[in-house]
Amino acid sequence: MTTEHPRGAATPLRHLVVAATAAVTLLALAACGSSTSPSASKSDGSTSAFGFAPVKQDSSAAITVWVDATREAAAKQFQTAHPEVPIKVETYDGGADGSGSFQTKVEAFNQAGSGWPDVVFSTQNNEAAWASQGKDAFAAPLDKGYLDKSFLDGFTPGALAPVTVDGTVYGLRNDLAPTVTWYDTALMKQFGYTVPTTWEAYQALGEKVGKEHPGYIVGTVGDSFAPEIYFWGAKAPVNVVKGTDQFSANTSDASSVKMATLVDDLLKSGSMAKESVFSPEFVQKYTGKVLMMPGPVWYSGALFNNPSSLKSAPGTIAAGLPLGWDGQQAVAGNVGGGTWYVSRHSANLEAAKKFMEFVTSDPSYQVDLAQGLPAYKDAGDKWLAKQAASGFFAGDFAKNVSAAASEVWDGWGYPRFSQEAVWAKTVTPALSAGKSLVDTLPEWDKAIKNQAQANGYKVK
Amino acid sequence: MSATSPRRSYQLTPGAWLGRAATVLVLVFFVVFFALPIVWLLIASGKTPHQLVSTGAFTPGSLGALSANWGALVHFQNGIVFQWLGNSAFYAVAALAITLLTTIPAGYALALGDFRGRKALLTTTLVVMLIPSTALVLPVFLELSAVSLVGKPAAAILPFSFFPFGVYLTYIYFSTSVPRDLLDAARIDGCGELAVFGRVAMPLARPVVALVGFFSFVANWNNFFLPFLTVPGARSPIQVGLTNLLASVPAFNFTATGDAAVELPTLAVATLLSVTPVLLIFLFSQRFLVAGLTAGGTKE
Repeated sequence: MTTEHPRGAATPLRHLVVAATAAVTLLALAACGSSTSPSASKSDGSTSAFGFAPVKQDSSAAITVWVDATREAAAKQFQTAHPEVPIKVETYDGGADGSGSFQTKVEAFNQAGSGWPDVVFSTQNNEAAWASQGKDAFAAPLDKGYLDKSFLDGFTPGALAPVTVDGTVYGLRNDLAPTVTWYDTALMKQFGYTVPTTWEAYQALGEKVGKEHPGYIVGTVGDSFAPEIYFWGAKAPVNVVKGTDQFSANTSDASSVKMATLVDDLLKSGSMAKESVFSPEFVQKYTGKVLMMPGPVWYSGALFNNPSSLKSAPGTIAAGLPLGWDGQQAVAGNVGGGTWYVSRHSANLEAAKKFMEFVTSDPSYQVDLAQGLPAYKDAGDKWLAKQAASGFFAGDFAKNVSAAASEVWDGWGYPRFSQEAVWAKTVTPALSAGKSLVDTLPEWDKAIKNQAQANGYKVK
Repeated sequence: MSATSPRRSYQLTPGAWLGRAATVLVLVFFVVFFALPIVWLLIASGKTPHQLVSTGAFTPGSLGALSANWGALVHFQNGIVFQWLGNSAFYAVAALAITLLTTIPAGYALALGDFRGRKALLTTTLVVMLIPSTALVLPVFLELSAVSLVGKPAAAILPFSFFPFGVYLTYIYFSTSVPRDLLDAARIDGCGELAVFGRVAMPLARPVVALVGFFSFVANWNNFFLPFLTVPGARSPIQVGLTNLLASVPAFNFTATGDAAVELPTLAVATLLSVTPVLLIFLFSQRFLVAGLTAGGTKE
């Protein structure tokens, strides 16, 4: 080595550089190495107590909580109610719009072997599919002794389905977003129509509206979550997840084809819009002209009771029960609803538990402050009663929404990829180009299966 | 007058006229293509959410609506937008200071020095310039994590202090615009190497210092991915903060509601606010920047 660099002055500098490089590399490698079994190395051996091996616990350790801006109120309310619990609240984008920031950050922390938050809120309801898997799984199982069974039983039936993977609950649902059948009672009365209760009657009414009242609509298929309204609500088996790695989609099933035909017919009659409910065009064209619209419960605040959107008159909009096929039991779809997760790496699981139970069930947040329908049944009932008392909605709002919340079809899975993204990439452009939905089904089928395979599923 | 001395443009041949018309068309196309979105953004910031979706894209809003949108932005998380701006300014200026301290001497040494490994260093600088910064995010994150800097301001400052493009710009400037003879004259007059650099080279290098400073500041200000990972929450710079705002727009996040929901015109105001510092710095340092960009263009 000295023969290559005879100048004495260069040698100490070079040694310094080599030493520094080696030190940084070793530190990085050490960090990577520790990520292979962080919990095993720090485990106190109490694997069986919670169904996972917790790290060494410290009851005075502050818990770090990640929330989106909307859920910051939940964390603040917890701080007010439990000033004795040390907590650090950090806001992030909540994984909104499929940003994947939760997963991206956790994977970086997995590589580093440290830095995980203790509790995370996500706006996406399919995070459990990845957060529960792998040797660096982030989400702690909650129903293996960590949370009380009586508490978990307090959630609306089916509410925890999105956070349940292979029979184990890995998260808690913050709010529910079942689909209901929104309709304008004033327009229904004016046109002399009755509210349909089946998809077949809905289709017939839509065709009638197209002929008798052009310009009025009974729904829109322009949003990326349209499959969750129409195909989920039609019990179409196009998003079936079994276990942790099996996926199937069948767009040629009778329910899928029937729903696609219904959408095509209504598009043809002009009573089904192609615009997104959030688009300027939709608001311009259809303010005051939405006769009916199957959609999630959060349409209430986002569209009808929103001065920036449809701005409906108080007392005109009602939430009807979900529609079903003639002769079959009606089911609801679901669009969204946030979820909470606890990290397996948390050093203060007791504080994390207290936080999780508070933010999902305590009325001081879920009833008094939260805008969405609480997933915790007791809080949900109180929230619905409060909404009904506001007098904005016509009909039996609380009863119908509550019924829809417990009728969400469990045949629709929560895979590691976004069905909405697949729909937006394949179906929306085809419909915009004037192609029929029935003709687009094979293309959609292929795109779903490709996406499932790319995410490691065995596809049937 | 015009009859006796016809203007030159009247003498254009049909071919030249067509050429000029084509040039104007191309220029108009690019002006429209690039300027329209900015004009739209400016107009959008002065509309109410309802006006934004119900009036024409370029129908002007009102000062009242602009004020309301500004109020909503300031109200969001108790004015966290100012904290984000402050964070951005701190990270960008601190990284800029370190960048200037390291890149200017480095470029000077590479251009006018004569030492072993000079060519290898220069080649390395060029190669590193070509590596996309995103590709380095994970290794840099692991490095920062290994030395427990994640979440600390240094995690957003140190990585951006490494600016090979600045070294290269300085190298080009000193290679082409500062005569070696001038530096030799200073040496003959008794200046040491540090004095030659400090008293002779640096005063001549003001344009390139401004240029490197500007590029470095803009790069620091606009960087997203690394700060997104390393300085979360209230320590975020404005670019990461903007995504938090975006995630609070109900159109992108169905669960965003209540006081924390951000309407699109408010987001437009935030976007304009985030580019204002860069715009102001550009306007005030324009003269230096142009001098720096054109320096070395000719050699006598």
